[in-house]
Amino acid sequence: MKTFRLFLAALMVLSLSACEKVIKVDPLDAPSQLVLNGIPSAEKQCFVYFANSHFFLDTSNNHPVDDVDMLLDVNGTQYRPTSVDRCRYYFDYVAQADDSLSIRVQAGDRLVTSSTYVPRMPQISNPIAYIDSDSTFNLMVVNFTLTDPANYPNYYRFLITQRDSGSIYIPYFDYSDTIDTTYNSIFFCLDTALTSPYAAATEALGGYLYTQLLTTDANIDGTAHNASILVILLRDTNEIQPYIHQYGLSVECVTPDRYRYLQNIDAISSMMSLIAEPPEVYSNVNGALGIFAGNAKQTFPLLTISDGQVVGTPDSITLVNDPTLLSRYRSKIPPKVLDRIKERRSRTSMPHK
Amino acid sequence: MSRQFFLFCLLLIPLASIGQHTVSGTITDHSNGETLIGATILDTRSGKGTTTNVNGRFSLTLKGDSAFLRITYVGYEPVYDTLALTSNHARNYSLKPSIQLQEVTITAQRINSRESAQMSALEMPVEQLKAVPVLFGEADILKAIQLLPGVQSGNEGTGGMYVRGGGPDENLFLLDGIPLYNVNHLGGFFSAFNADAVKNVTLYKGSFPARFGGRLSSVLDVTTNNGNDKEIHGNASLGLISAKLAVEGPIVPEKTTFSLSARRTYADLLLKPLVAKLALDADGKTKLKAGYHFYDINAKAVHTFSDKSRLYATFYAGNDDANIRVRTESSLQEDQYLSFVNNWGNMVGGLRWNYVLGPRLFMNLSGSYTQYTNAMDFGLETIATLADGTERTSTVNGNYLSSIRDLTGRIDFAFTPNTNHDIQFGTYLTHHWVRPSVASASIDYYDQIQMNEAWKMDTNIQDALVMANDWVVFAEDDWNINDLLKINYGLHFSGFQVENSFYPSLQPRLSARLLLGENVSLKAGYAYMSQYMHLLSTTSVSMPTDLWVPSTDRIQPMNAHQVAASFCYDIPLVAEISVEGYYKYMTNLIEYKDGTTAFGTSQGWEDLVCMGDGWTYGVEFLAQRNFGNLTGWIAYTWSRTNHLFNRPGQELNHGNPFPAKYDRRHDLSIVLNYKFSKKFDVSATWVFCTGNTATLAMQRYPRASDDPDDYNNGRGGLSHVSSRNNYRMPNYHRADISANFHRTFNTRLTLANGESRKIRRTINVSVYNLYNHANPYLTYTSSQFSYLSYSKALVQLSIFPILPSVSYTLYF
Repeated sequence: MKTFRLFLAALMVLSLSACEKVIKVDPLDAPSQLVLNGIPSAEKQCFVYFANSHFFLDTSNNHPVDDVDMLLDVNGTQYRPTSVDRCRYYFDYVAQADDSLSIRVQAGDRLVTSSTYVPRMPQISNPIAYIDSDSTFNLMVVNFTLTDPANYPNYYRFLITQRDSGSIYIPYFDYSDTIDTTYNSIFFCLDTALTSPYAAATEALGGYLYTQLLTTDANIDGTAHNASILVILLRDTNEIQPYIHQYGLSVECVTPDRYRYLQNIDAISSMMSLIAEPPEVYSNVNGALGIFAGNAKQTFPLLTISDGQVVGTPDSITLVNDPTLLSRYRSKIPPKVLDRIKERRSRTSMPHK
Repeated sequence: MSRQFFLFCLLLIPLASIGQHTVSGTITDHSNGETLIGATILDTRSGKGTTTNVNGRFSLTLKGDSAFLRITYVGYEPVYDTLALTSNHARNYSLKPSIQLQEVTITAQRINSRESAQMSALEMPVEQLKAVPVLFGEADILKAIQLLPGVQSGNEGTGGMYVRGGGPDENLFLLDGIPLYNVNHLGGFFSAFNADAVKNVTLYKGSFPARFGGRLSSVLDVTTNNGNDKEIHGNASLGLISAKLAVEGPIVPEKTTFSLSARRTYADLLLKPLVAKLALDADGKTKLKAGYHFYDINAKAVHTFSDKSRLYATFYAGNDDANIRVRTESSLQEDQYLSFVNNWGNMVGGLRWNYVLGPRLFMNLSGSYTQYTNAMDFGLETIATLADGTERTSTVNGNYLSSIRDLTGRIDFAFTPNTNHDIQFGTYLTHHWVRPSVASASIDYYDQIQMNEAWKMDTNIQDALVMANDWVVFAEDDWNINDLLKINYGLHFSGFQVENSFYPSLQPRLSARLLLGENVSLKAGYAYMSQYMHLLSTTSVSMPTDLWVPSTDRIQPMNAHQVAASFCYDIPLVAEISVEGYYKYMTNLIEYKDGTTAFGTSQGWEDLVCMGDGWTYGVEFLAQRNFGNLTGWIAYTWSRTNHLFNRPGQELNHGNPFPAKYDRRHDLSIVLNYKFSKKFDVSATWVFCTGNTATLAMQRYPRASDDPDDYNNGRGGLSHVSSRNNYRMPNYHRADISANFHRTFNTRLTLANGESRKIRRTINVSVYNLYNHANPYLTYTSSQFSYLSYSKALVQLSIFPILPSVSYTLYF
């Protein structure tokens, strides 16, 4: 019986063992497309990224396009790029609210066009951040007043970012099997007036984490609205060297095209099912992939932590220490996050040390 | 409406001429009393003939003074009978199985595809289908059917049958006339049809007879054994992963019979202790418990009240159970277990009363019930050790249930007014209960930080129970216009009532055959079909979690027009060859919108799908030989299937046509079986098919940012899909072989009535994927990172290498 069991087990393992094989795909089967990305931001110098898309197995960046003739029209005034750096075309123009822009690019015999406008700056006042933290977490509740101009179409993007100045462990860089998986949590305590389905945490490049909330002024048009955002950050146990965390809040006014583009990307990022058909990313550019859409952004640094200690309190926001914050907002925090805090507290040393 | 229907039926029924007499009765297997479906009764004097229906009954109306009947069936000795046609005759015939094995002998031919007016229908001998070697040596009717022209399987290791460009939900699977909603075990590795229980299988791919409806692409009509009416017989089989038992015999000799077959996989029983032992962690606790099994039971009883009256009772139950429990996390204070249980299956029951109202008129009155249920349980259990040493368990549980139930009442008639007409008409009403999903969750979470009951929740979310009625009236006639031309024409009317909508559909069906010579025929046919039930599934993978949903106010029924034409040539003593071409246009097809699936939920499913059209065309070639020592077939299909979703707001692929997921250019199957002797036979198959299509984003580009530095690193880019299903996976091919070693023991089995008979056994040795070809199961993009480099590759995953297997079957 034992022999039979072993034979059966071997057969099952054999039958269920996956066999992997690399398949060759001809890049000629997928001709590259032109890409135009431009986010002219209020009170910033305008640039446009114009390049070729690259084959999906090609890991190099910035594939330039030859023979490019680019023209930017701002309220009837025409600009040509003054410099080009790695597919970024810079214009001697600083975007202003309510500017009307159109772009025309001739690349060989291919024509690319698009147009947009620059929204007005979001009006944020009285920002206060309440902070509760220990060696395992940082919890912040940020309150501020958002004044929405009446009869002006505003599409808002609230963004909480975590940017790291040093190296950070990212799971797919397999430095060590013994290092615990990073688990950071940044999320919004949604204000009902700002309710939107498009709030999600996304890991971006090189340890840059953000959570965004996309919403419109449908419920707050013309009012001064008091908004409240809750952010919890698990202290990273996977640091391979002391470094600085920087957390920030940015509030953007975006165009309807950018709003749709961001919604679209967010939906793709949060897609639960790998078996769904990949959706196409929204584009308002004729003749190319990408987006050309104005933007107006206010940024508020929230907190700077270095080697586990709060080292910076930016002038633009009032910081208030409140050790009761965790107990008061416990019901808003998912059990899994609480589990992680508890688990970190039970450790006598960090796993990587 | 019913009055109009009967008037219509009367118009269809030509009056019987004076001077005709009818011979009617049943044809059975002499050895076991089993009725024979499709046996031929031919009056050699007039050349008129007919075949037995699904009940083994026939009715032949003849002119003249006398008739010389020849009754034949493939594999049986013919029977001859001379009758004086002075009155109607009730005659039952028993055919003896042919014992000639060494010679190439044609003992009989069924009314074959060349002679029948019905086209796009395939009727394969069950023994031939059972001989096809398959995975783990488990004979599987459905897997063998998928080797026929125009029929495709899904990916390897997934269920789903795709007929002439249709989706996996467009096939009607009938078990003794009762629909089965899910025919897959173990994700499609095995089908729900236990080969031991099956007597007859007929596949219709187009030109459907009017009695069938409700699906666009195919009807697979499976009839199970009635049971031996003379003595108890059976077989027991032991394979590598499953055991089977089949018993049949008389309850009251020649009055009441039964047939019972059951099977169960048992790999879980053998492997469970092994897995538990191997999956121990450092502190001796089991990290993993997992198991899977399925079972199915087929039961049938037939009671013969008289020659005119029989009652059939059918029951089927099949169930799959998969479970896993993993210890996910361990710390000094707590153990955490994640568990998942998935249980799905069909249950079917039906009663049918077959009554002979007269020598030319039969009636079937039936009631049936079918249900499909899929249940899933998720659990997270945390056992914490508190400071005082006591244990406290926190639980998070989720349950999910999806079900569909049908109750059907049906009456149909078969009327043979004369030799030239074979009329069937009837009506049925089906009531559907569809509960796409019921989800419930309960949380009992103990918070160690605050030392209190932090979370407690018990909730239930469910879709509304959707009830729908499907009413059908049909009539068809198999009409011999003359010796050369024969047609099958009919009308199928269905009305589907759901929510606030009523969808009527009048579906004409026509099929014609023209004999061009003794061995050559031409056929052509047309059918219009409507389908009211939809399966919400990804088109590439068939899973038990797929949801059946009805048409609604917003989602209209799917429809299909199909035309086909074929050429059949019977090469005497060699094989029967047919070439068939078809074109099918489908409307109101459903596909998921880009980026969406309803995996595990049907909430708002109408918003996740869009509707469009499709068309498919192709040519099928079949060379089939089902007599002599060498049997088998060669099947080849060339086909093309496109979809077009361009309705406003429901565009896919920019409103341009795109190939369907199951669009395959070439499909080739070669199936051969050679009987060397009574003791030894060998089967082999080779299949080749073009790879499936898939959507592959083959271009990448950076996402837009207002910060120039964000463009320096390409890993956070976006994918660009040039078109839907733009990539074709590598071709699929595989060879399987199996050998059967038969032996009859001298040991005799003594029966209760004192009779004895010899016991036989068969050892089956088979090899799946003989030359170990790595066939594509799925493809994915793999990334390799290091400090200095970063590369990507497209990787194909294959799951079944060469797999030998052995099984042992005892016949008693």
